[in-house]
Amino acid sequence: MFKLHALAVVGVVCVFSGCASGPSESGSGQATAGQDAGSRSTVALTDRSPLDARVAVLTVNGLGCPLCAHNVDNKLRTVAGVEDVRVDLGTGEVTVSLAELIRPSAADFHKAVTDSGFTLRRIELR
Amino acid sequence: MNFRRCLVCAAIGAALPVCSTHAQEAINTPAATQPAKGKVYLRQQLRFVRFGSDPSDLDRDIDQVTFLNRIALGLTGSLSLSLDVPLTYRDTDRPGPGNDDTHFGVNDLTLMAKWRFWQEDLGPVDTIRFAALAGLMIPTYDDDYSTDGFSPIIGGVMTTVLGRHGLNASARWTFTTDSRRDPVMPGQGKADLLNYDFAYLYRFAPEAYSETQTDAWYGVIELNGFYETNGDHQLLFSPGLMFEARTWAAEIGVQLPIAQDLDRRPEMDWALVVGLRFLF
Repeated sequence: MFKLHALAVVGVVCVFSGCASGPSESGSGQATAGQDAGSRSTVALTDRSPLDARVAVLTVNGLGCPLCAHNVDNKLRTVAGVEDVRVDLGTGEVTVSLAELIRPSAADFHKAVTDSGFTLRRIELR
Repeated sequence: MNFRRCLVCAAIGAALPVCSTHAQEAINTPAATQPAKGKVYLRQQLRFVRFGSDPSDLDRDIDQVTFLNRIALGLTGSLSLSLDVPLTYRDTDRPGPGNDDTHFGVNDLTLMAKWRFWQEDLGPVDTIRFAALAGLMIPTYDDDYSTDGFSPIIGGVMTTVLGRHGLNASARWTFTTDSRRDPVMPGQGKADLLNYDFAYLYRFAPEAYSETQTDAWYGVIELNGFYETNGDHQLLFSPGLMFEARTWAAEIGVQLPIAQDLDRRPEMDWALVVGLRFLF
């Protein structure tokens, strides 16, 4: 009986641990860039150089609801060089199609997401 | 009640442009969310209140319809300014022949700044947020509705979204500087007012969001309280339903008193609230 109770306690702890992610970095930028497997690469959020890709995938946290998602959608569309924005509330991924000649920077996206009231975690280029 | 005047009110209200991104804001409870920087959003809400027994000497029987129009401007990503403009129609029956009257006018305005000072975004939709509120009630000097006084407001609000669950909690204190001889609503008498609100939202559908899932249904349960320093106290139970799409949202709810101890203004029997929010 004791083992069952202990298992239940461990199970509850695991469930609540899964409900929250790591430490908050609200408003802060990721300082390093890197290379993912395959053809994706990540970009430092403070980088001001034009993005060298036609598609950028932003991972945004705190979207809350469908109307919230449209808020960030609206804001990203005001960034010069953005042609299209698609938001996946399930994953927090915001897929941004970029123009051929005008390319925004990672810092431009970071500012737009922050001005929308959300947290930008990562930018991947495809 | 004059039904034709109500239709006119409804038509005026429906003609006003509406949009809002106060997502996760419940029907009657504020949220620690605000429009993006540089964006202007509007929210519109129609509230019908049937008042009950009037403990004052006036012995009034009142029905009231209010169109609340809220305009909000995002000043930064965490600071916004909003203005509430309530259009009110009231039908008042008093004892004796010829004492009934109806009035249409503008209730006192509310200018409110909201500063989100703490935020932790835990996942794609999960978030915990705290915001401070500071505002001012601005008199319209309407003969029938205004208190004729500028009344400061301070307060705070918390919002959390964890999966399908949302919680909002808010407290606001109004320092009333003037009053009406015949108060009907909280805050119109010679007393400071504490508004305290709690809201729980549950997302019925979808079970999980996806790129193609662009709308959601919520059930809402709220407790909305009013405490005045003259001793009047009122607590309302407010269940409701919300539908939220990418660019608009609709809401409907009722308010039922579960505790009322009022000596200076009429008690509420019930209220019906419907609203629309659009995002352009």
